[in-house]
Amino acid sequence: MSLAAFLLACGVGAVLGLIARPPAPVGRVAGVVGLLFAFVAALFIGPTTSLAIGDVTLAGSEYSGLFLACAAGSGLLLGVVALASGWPDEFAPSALAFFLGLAVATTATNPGVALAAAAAAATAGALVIVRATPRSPEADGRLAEFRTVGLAVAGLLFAAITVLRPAWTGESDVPVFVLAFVCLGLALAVRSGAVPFHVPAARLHLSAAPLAPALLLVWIPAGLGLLTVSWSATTFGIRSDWLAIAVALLQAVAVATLVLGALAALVHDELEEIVAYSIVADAGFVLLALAARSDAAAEPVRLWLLVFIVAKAGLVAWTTAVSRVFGTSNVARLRGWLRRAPLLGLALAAIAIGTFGWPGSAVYEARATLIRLALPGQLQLLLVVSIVLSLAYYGRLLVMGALPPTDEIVAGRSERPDRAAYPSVPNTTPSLTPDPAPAAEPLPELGVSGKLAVAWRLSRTLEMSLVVAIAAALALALAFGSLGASNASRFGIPLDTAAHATPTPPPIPSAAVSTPTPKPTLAPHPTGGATSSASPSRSAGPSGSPTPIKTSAPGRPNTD
Amino acid sequence: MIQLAVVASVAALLGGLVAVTARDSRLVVLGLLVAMVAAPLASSPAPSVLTIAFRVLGALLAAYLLWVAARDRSISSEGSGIGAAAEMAVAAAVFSVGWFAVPVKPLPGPLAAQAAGISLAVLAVVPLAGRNILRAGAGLAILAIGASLLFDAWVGPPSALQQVVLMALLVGVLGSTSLLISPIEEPAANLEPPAPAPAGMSAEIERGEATVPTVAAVVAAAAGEPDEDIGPKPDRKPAASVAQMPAAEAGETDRASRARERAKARAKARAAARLAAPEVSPTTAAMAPPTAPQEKAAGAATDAAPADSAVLPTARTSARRPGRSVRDGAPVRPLPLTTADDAALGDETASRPVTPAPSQSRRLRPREPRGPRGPRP
Repeated sequence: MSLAAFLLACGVGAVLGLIARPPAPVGRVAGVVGLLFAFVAALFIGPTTSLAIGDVTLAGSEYSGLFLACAAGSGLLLGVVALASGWPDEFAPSALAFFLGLAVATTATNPGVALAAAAAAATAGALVIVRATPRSPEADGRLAEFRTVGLAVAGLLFAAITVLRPAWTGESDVPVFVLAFVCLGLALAVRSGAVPFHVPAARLHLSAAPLAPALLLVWIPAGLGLLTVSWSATTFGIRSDWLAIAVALLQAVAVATLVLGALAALVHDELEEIVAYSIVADAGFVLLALAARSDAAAEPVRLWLLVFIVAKAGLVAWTTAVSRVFGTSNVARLRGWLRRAPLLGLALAAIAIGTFGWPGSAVYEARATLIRLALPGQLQLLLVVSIVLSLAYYGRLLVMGALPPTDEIVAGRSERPDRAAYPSVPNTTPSLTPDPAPAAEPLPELGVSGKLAVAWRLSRTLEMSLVVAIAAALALALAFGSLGASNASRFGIPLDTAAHATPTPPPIPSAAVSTPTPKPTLAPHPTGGATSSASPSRSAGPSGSPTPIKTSAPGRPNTD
Repeated sequence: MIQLAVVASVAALLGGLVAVTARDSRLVVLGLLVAMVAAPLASSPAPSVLTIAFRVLGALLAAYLLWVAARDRSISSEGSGIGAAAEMAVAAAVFSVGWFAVPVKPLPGPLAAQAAGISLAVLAVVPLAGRNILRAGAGLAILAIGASLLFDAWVGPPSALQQVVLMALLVGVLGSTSLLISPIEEPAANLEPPAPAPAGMSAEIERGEATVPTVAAVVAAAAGEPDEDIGPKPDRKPAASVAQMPAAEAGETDRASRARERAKARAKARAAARLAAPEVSPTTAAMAPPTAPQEKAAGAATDAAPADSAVLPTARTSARRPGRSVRDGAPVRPLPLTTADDAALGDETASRPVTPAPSQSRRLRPREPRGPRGPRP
């Protein structure tokens, strides 16, 4: 029932929001109410939730419910910020359309349905590109967005065929799996803006609607990552030279993304670019989880994805709020912002802590585990490097905010409601006649709705700050394993169960495998510790299945 | 007897071939529609009637979305990147390979679906590598159709929910394409930061009650900000419009550019013909009783024209409507000029003497741009 309610809220909200464009009150109401209903419905999705559609069952789980709740909840918070800062018509419909597809993808028990639904959901990102006016001709990101969508769709469809394991007639299935791995990795890397595919992501503030990074760089990559990692250990845990090369390439992309993304966030001056690069850098951990090809990476990446969704959406909301309040997004011109908006500063600090935690916290251990599993020993230092770089750009923003404010910042609004402005409203209201001393008019009587509107408008800065602070607090709680995050991360989505139901294909005795002295590779050796993960079926890692048996794909008819 | 799956597979392939080779966007849409409708029929056994109906409805919706965007915006496909003959040869060759190759054995689905699926996947490569969004969208839709055919052939008939999801995918792909090929209608004038009018001014001007602030104006003034939710950012550079962008970057093809040039030339010729037509004296025109539609048009032109706008001095016979010319003794009223006419007239009208004639005025200023909304923050 809760799953059906979630799907209904997302579908109706998306359709109404699309129909009501351009700006109409019903569009805003439909968007915010749809996100609210979706959030509430997602809170009730659990292991007992199921919805049968034809011969396919959509089954909920603790993690899928929490994942959807985090996504819808962060979308709701962003929607409230958008109400106060400027409502982009496309944001809520596209987010709801994506959540609709994401719900089907994360609850479907059929891999074909799940991956095709994810492909369909990925097309929703085009909505936030299309109606945005590019601020310069070279910033028209429509073709880049379409190519990204195409790559994601092609990769997911090909993977959907591959993971269902048709009865290939070739001597080896390995080339097919290598191709599927490359397709999935490439789709995930391009969609998340990983280096060297980062240029469209960095230009999103020029080519896309406001708040678009939350959808294009946070929610969609997180959803794709969740689905992709489900198959990482079971499907791609095979030994092959070609696969080792592909994994090494993915590792290189992930390392470059982690380091260069954080460096780029440090050297750029526009808040939107800093946030985009920050999101891109942290998305590198999802690539690492895919490269790990181990069951042990499933639990930490699930926890990381929860934190990633809420913290990065909160960061996007923070950027929107700061830009709106002070009228600029240039860091140099934002000197002293912290003195005028201390709540926003507190929220930024909480987001930073929630993103990388400290030793012993759940999110810190998750990041450390992903690096340990995915990278060889020489690169374990990357965890420290990424934290230091992240601290540097977060610290730069906070230090700039603590400096003496510029005149522009002093003249800007603060978080304190300007209640003194209300009694003098008639005097400050301009008239058509250029009379230097206009006569005071009697203040119009305001009803309850008028007073609420006045209160809303007088306190916009405070409202946005509070919403961002709520998002930061949620991210902090998730980062320390609260709100059921740690427990839910131990269980996957139904796709994990489906993936473990199809055992690892037999290692093909290729020339590389039969060589007595295998060549060194960056790919991690599967360890027995993989069984420590609490994945739904608790299957062993790639080396834990001595005589794997190739089975028919689930649901495939027997035509012999 | 020819099986339905074979016919459907071949139809899907032909539809895809038309979609990737056609220059007219309507043909592209038609080809995609045929491919989308035929693809679910290629399953063996055939899906239920309800499933087929759902896929057909989805195909119609997807095709409609693309057709709506492409029908009146002079957006045409460049056609095949390698030539129609080459596309057909490639399709035939790959179809043959798919027909005789056996990558999966036993094959759970029809062989024709495999051949058509591989062929469609190969056909989609060239459009996807191009820079034209319409062709790339058609290529991506064809790729999705090909993947669904391969799914039918290699994995077996998809479930009902998977059919629904595939339909949603096609609607999403073509809906995205239709939105992305739509030109952006916000001109540069609309995107520049507005004059620093004080809060509440616009509301008062519109109502004509400058001394009585509205509730909205009071609220906006109390907040110290304009009533617009979406305001400009001070440090933003003025945005550029699509009109200032190179045609290729605006998603426009060379063919569309040529079509636009031709339309401009036609408009200029029409305007020149109007100027060269015999003039009607104001007295003659005033004596003739106007018809109701003409009266309405003249009134609308008067209302729309600003007080200081330049107007043409005399009424002229429309060269496009000889039946209504003065030679036939019919009343003549000036036709309102279109924006294209205004642009085509250029300096010719600027050099003509102008006299105020509010009742028969023609706007020479470009029309107000129809921007859907103000600038974004």
